[in-house]
Amino acid sequence: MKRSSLALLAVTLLLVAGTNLYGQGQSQNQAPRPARSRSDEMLDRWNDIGNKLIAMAQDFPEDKYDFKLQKDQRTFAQNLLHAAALDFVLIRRVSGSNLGPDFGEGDNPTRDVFKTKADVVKFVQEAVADGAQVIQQQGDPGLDNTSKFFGNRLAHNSSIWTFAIEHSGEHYGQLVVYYRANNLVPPDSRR
Amino acid sequence: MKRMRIFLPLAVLIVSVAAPAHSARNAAAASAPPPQQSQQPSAPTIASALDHEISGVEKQIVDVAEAMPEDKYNFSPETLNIPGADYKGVRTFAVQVKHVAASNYFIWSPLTGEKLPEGLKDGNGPEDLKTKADIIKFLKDSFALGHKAAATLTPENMLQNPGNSKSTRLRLATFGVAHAFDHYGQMVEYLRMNGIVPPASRSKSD
Repeated sequence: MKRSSLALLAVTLLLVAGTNLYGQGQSQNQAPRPARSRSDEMLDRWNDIGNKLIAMAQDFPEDKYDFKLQKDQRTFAQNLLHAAALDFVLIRRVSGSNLGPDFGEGDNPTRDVFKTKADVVKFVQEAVADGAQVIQQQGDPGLDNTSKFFGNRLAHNSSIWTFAIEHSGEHYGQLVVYYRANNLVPPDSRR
Repeated sequence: MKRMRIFLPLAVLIVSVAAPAHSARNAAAASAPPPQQSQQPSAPTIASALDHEISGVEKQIVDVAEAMPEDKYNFSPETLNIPGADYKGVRTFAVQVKHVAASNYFIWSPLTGEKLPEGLKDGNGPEDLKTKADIIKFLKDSFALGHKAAATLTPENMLQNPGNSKSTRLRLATFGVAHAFDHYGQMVEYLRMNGIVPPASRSKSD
C-alpha cells in the first residue's frame, strides 16, 4: 500500500537486511550475542507475523469485524479466525497434541463460536502463543522431524511451520486492504 | 479469500515445499493417499528447502501478475472512490509488482554479493518499467536472484550475517518470501476489486 513509503521501506530493509552502521562501533565493547539457532529464526518469523495479526485483531473496530470488500470473501473476523484455526490444525499435527479448539480438519470457524472481538483476539493470541511454545520446546531437532501433513503425506516440520507463516502473511496482506477500505491505517504502517 | 479454502493453498504448498509435485492438483488428489505416502521424505538441504519456498511464492505472485489485464496495471483502489475508504496514494497494481521485485533484490542481493540492477533507486522499482511484459520480466529476474541466493545457504553459513548485515543469511532468505506473501495478499484483493478471481482460487470455486 501507499504509505509504506520509501522511508518506511528503507527502515524495514535496514532493519532486516541493512547495514550495521553503528554496530561496528559498538562491537568491541559488547559481549557477543548468543549464537542463533534455526529454531530461533523460525520462532522470530512465527512471532513476527503472529504479532502483526494480533495487533490488527486488537486494533480494528469491533463494529467493523464483519466487514468484507466483496461478497465472495471472508469478513475481517473470518480472515483472522481462518488463519488462527489453520495454525492450530498444524500445531496439533507437529506437536502430536490436542492444543486449541478442535474443528476437525476445518479451518473456518464461524462467528457463532467467536461472537465478540475479545473472543477473536483471544483465539489468535492463543494460536500464536501455542505455536511459539511448540517451536521452542522442539528446538532444532523438531524442525527435522516429520509429521502428517495434508493428504496424510509426511512433511518436515520446518516446511509445515513455514507454510503456516506464509499463509498468515497472505491473509495479513488482505487485511491491510480491508483497513484502508475503512479509512484506517494498519498498525504496522503507522511508524 | 473465502473460496481459497484449505486444500488449494495446501496443494500449492505440497507442490512447492513438501512433496512430489504431481499429486496435488485438487482436493481429491490431495486427499487420496498415494502408495508411497508413509515413506519418510528425504531430508531437504537448507538450500533446497528455501528454494522450494521461493518457488512457491514466485508461482503465486507471477500468476497474479499475469492474471491482471495490462490495461488494469495502473489500477489502484483509490480509483474506486469507495465511500468511507482512504486509499489515497496507495501503490497501483504495477507498483505492487515492482515493489515485490525491487525488495527481492534489496533483500537477497547480500547473499549473492551481486550488484543491484541499474535504476533500482527505491523500493518501488525503476520508473521506466511501464509495460506488463517488462514488469513481469523484472519480477521473474528478481526471483531468479532469489534462487541463486538460496543456493548459497549451507548449514555452516546460514546463521552467519553476510557482510555488514544485521540479519542472518537464513533470515534474509526467508524474509524475502514472507514479504512477498504480504503483497500477494494485497494483489489478490486488487484482482477481486476488478472482478477477477485469483488463479489460486479458481480450480475449486470457479
